Amino acid sequence: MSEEKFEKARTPFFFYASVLPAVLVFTVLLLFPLAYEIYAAFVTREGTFTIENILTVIKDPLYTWSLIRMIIYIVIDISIKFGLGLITAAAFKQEFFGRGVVTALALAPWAVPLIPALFAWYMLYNPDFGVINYALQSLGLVKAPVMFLNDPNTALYWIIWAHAWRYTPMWTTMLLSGLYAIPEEYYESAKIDGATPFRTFIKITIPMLKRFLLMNAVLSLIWTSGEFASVWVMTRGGPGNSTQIVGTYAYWYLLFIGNSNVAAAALVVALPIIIVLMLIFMRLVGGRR
Amino acid sequence: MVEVRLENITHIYVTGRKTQTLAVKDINLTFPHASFCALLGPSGCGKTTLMRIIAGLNIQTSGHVYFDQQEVTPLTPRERNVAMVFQFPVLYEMNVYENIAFPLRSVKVPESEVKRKVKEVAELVGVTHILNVHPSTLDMGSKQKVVLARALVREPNVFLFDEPLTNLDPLGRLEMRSKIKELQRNIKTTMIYVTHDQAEALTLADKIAVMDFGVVVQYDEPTKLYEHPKNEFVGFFLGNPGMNFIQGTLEDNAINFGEFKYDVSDVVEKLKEYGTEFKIGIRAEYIKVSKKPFKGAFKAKCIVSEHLGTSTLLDLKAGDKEFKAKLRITDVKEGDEVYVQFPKEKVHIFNKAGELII
Amino acid sequence: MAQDKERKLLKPETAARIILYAYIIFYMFLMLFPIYWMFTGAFKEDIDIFNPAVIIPTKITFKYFLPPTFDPIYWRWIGNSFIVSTLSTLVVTLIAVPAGYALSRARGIFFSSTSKILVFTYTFPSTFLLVGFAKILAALGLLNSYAGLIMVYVPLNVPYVTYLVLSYMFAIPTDLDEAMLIDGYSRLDILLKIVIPLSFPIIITGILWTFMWTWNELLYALVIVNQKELLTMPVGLNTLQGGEISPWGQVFALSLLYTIPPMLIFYALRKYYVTGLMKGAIKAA
Repeated sequence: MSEEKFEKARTPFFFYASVLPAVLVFTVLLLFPLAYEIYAAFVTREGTFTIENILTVIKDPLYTWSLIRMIIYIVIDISIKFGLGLITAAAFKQEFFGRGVVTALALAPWAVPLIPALFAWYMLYNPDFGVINYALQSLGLVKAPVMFLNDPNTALYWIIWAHAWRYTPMWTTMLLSGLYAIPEEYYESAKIDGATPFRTFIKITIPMLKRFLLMNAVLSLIWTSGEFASVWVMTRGGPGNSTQIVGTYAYWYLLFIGNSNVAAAALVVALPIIIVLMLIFMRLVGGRR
Repeated sequence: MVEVRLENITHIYVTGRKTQTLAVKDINLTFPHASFCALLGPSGCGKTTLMRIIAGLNIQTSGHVYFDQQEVTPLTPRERNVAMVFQFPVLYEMNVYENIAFPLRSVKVPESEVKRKVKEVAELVGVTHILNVHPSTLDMGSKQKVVLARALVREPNVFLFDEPLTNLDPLGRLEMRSKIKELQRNIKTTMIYVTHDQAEALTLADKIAVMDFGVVVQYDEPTKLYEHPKNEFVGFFLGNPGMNFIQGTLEDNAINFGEFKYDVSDVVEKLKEYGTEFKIGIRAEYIKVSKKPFKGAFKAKCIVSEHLGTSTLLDLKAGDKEFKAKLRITDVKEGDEVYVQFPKEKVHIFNKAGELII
Repeated sequence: MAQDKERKLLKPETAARIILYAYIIFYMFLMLFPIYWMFTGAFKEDIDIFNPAVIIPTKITFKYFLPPTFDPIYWRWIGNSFIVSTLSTLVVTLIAVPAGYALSRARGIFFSSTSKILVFTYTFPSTFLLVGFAKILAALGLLNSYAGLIMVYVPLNVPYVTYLVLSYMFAIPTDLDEAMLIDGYSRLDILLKIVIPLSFPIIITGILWTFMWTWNELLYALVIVNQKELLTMPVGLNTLQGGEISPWGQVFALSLLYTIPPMLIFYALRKYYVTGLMKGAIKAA
């Protein structure tokens, strides 16, 4: 067979057929909505070109704050998932009694559906009948009940905590797999070289996982930027709009104010940030292949 | 450079719930100062376990490990000051200089000292020109050099090698082998080398501990192991090809193999103590083979003839007994009839179980 | 020189052990308490629900699971979630697995570009397509329908699952394929008989992923469906919660029921999932 024919034989009709539905899905079913949305952002209700929507959005302090909060959200969220996840993964790597059961049970927050989990934390945070306040007050650590979600200054952070709580287990598992991916010889060599477990972790383990960690971190940042449920369920964007993020802002404009064009603009204006993060991600992925 | 002594070392691995595996049983070995000793044996014989116990990576279930006169069992690997070279180059994600400096920094050696020592060792090993380079860009040979440098910088008591040549291609293997020999000459440190390759052990080591199923079968100098193996296992394991073992029955003053006999009149009294079934061991390269008959020779047929460059390996068969002979270039072809003799001074007699008698 | 640093082997080790166990207990408590508290809340009397001191309820009630407090429409909600999640998962898997196979094997510009686009697509956050999808569905008249929801859920999950499958299959040697080709089998045979069985861990992971994603999804469900009978659980639960006085006992009871299907699935497939996540994570992420 000639080179050409051999190549052709290696990409038969079957492959094209297999890939076609998927390709249709992302070109038609994903590209269209995106295109339509961008179009809607630059158009009035009647269909004439305008930048009014964009301007409305940019000039609205509520929006700019939403954008800022979105960034705060994704940064703190990844820090918790990462920090807690890494420490826990290191802990789970050790041998201890009941390890199998513990690692399985530790995934529970992820297995419980999102909304109920958020409700649980909502109740726990409650100043009057939440367990957390009750415990804090009984132990004498605080005098007055702490206004977790009711305090405009702190509400966002408690929402972020509930969200991070739910996803930390998944991160723990992933990081644990990363730790296991490093051949045992590296840990042994470090031991022989006299490094403490801590030093080994910082100087050897983490640098070896750098790309892996970075990729997951960036992906988390991107995916969490569209966060909606945690804020909506726990505070509906309150108290006093102090927890609005881009997702809730767009939703509110779409369904409550009924202006889909401005809602679209709200999403489109935030896109550049997302795109930049995506490009960074692509770069990290590309490095490997 | 210390003398490493193992006393009654036994180790049992516990995996999973209750599975226990006996890795090594009652090992007693002494590795002299500044010697190069090999732990040789097939997979699973316990050699790696033994090395890890010496290193301190595993604590033996029972028994003692001594460096000179001091018991090192309670000490960590770093406290024992051992260095270990693994099967693949273990290099950290930092440049060469940092890699070499790592063990020094881990025990808080002052910076000025670190710089001096790293430079010293880098020169010794030959990596001064790549100190600022990241190891991922280096070739295998250079990587191993950096590993050696990092091990050397601590002036270890004992150097441990865990099958370091296994993952190299034949060329790389020869290169590293000579490097290790060079190292051995230059620095007088006790070295313990684990391998399953008998040729490696024979070339590199002063003494070899041949192991099988968790016990030391024979611990001796290479020549002694080669010429006077204590049992069938050692005889067969060493050498390429391994020693021939042919089973026969003692009749009158000779061991009868069916088609041929081997005279044992001078030792027949001693042999009678061990029964009537015996094996004789003779190395392939000592067997006398000729196309023409000669005194004391018996007839055999050549089944396979392999040319190995400077020598030829022949599979010979006499009756139902098969054995191999290794000759310089010869024109013996498959199917030829040849005449064979086993020179008395090179023959060893083993009992039925394979233990050496003569 | 170990002289100036002679430590007994035991002290730092036991101290470390204690810290380890303390942390694990702390962490597990942190992870499990909220869940425990919520689920016990499903069985508590109202007074006890609002009394934080009642950690272990002494009086239990099943009233939130039975009529009249338990509105039969809740069953519809669970049913809706079930239908939508199952169908979406099915469609996604059927599209993603062959596509993943093809992309892991085929050569050529078309396929390599598709792979790159794939990575770009799966990273894109779904929220940012909200308005686009909403308007298109409205125009097509697909609001308030299973089809509408599935038409959104499927495209939002196909890229990621395809990517998981692709990465995993990429690591399966092509020798098997080629041996079978020589023996006269078709690509379809190879996929069905050999590759899919070998890819079980990641396929299960993909199924779990999609199912969980759709089971939990709130935003699109809120926007696309507003008829009470057609709500999915997330939306339903959300409507129950309003203002200060919410029927918390009911909410917790429903949450419990709503948690059971994924818990069961998750538990049954636990073995595959962890393997898949581990393998997929190293490659995919």
